[in-house]
Amino acid sequence: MIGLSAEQIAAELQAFRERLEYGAQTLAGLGEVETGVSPRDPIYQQDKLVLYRYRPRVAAPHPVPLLIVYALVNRPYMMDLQEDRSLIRGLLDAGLDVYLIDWGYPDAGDRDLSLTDYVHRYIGDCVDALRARCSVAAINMLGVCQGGALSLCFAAHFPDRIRNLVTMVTPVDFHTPDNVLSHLIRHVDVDRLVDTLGNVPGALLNFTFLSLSPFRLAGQKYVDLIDILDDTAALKNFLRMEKWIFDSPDQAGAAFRQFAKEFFQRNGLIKGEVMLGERRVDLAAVTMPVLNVYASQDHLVPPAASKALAGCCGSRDYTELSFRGGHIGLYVSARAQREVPPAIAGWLLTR
Amino acid sequence: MSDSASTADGHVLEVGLLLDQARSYLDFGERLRQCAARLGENATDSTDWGELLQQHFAQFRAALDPSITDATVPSADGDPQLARLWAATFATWQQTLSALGAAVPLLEGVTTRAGWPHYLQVQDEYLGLLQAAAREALDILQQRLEQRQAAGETVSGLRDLYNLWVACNEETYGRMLRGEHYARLVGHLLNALLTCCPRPGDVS
Repeated sequence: MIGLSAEQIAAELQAFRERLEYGAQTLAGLGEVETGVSPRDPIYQQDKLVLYRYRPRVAAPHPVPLLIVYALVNRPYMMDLQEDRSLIRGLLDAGLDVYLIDWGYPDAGDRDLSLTDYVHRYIGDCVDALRARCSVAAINMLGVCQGGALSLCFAAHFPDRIRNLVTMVTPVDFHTPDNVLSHLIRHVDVDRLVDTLGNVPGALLNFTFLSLSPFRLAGQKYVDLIDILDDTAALKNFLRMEKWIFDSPDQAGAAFRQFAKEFFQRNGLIKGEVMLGERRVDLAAVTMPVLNVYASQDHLVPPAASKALAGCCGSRDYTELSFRGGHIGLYVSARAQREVPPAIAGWLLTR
Repeated sequence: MSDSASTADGHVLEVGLLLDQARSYLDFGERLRQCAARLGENATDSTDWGELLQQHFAQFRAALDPSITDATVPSADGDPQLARLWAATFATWQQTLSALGAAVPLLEGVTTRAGWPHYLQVQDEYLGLLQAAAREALDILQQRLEQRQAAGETVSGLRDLYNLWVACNEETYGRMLRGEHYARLVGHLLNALLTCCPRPGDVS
């Protein structure tokens, strides 16, 4: 019928079963899958937030600290997954003094945390802690994905505290035609969702991401795993990624409500309609130098969604860096390790 | 300091997913093997391979139709083991339900709520859309196989066929996903379910 004989299929199935049995033993013996490999120390804490400093890898790191603001969804160890896949390590090797906000895991007591809390209070207090610690008037900031959008909000409200801003795979225009997430959330009754659930379960968001490509992400990926079941190193790499994918913190209800409605549904960031506290976020107030890094094959934050920043931010020193790869590849691919940290460091060190 | 202790699950979840998909794949392969064996027994020099291919896909379609909503329920025409493979999209929604169920006592009395019939109605519509995409994927798979045959190429193995099937499903599912109808329907599906869930402060 399709060029396969029953014997050929039977042989292939038998080989698959054997590898699966062998792989089960390998998996059982793997032990703990560790992530977050670069040494770091907590330097500031507030509620569930912890601000870490990564131990420098050069004798005299750059005097202006770089604060990484990661997204509220997923965990930030994607930036430091393993020794040979760590953008943070690359930034440290390039001579930067790197700090990162770990948002922790919101629980029921955090359901009323708003975006104003996250941007003005949490990010603001971390920025001030670093300004005081390093005796600088303004710091460098690197915002990642949703964290980039939050960074833009902060930079718009407090431009004097940010010396240079780097945005990575950051959505600005949420209504580009290829923005599937925005497309899917458009008809969701966000108020009812948050009123019912309080905090929004991380697993709900996670399965939404998986539902974008279910046959590959929930099926084929695991069938393909059979090919590496005898390769302990490859298996550990796979499991690190798996751990990250399924390690999805719940989202504080009030902040999710605002982000989903004002950013995704109303496209308020690019329109200048987002309100934090009593203040409107006007991206024209982002006047510091900006490096906008996007991934040309990003299926979550399409390039056009990121590149829209060029037309609305107030910076006269605006640079774009296109990375040939996807949303996750930007953090973990071998090419990203070679290209991205040196490019970011090079850009920062000249400003 | 590392984040290794930040999740309690370890890699238990991944092993479960691996085994689940491996079982589905093995079922898929076993079904194909049986078909191939039957075809091999009946084949003669004058066998119409195009006709056999049609028959084969007719069996696939029969497997898909009755059991996509619940791959554990056997039916007269369908093959629940095979259907489990096609049901990946609905499984994602079921996992979403589980995620919601962890946050609210979703399953307690939800089917007695006034909005439940409406939810089932929207869910039926949603499943219909998924089935249509899966059927379209089968059509494309058949076309691709026929194209290969016409070009003198054969499928190199079960994995090759499986990968082709995945590609076809991603193609049709992706097209559906980006359509306005799907976006409206999946939004209504979630909204309809939430209507059935108790909200804090509700008096039951």
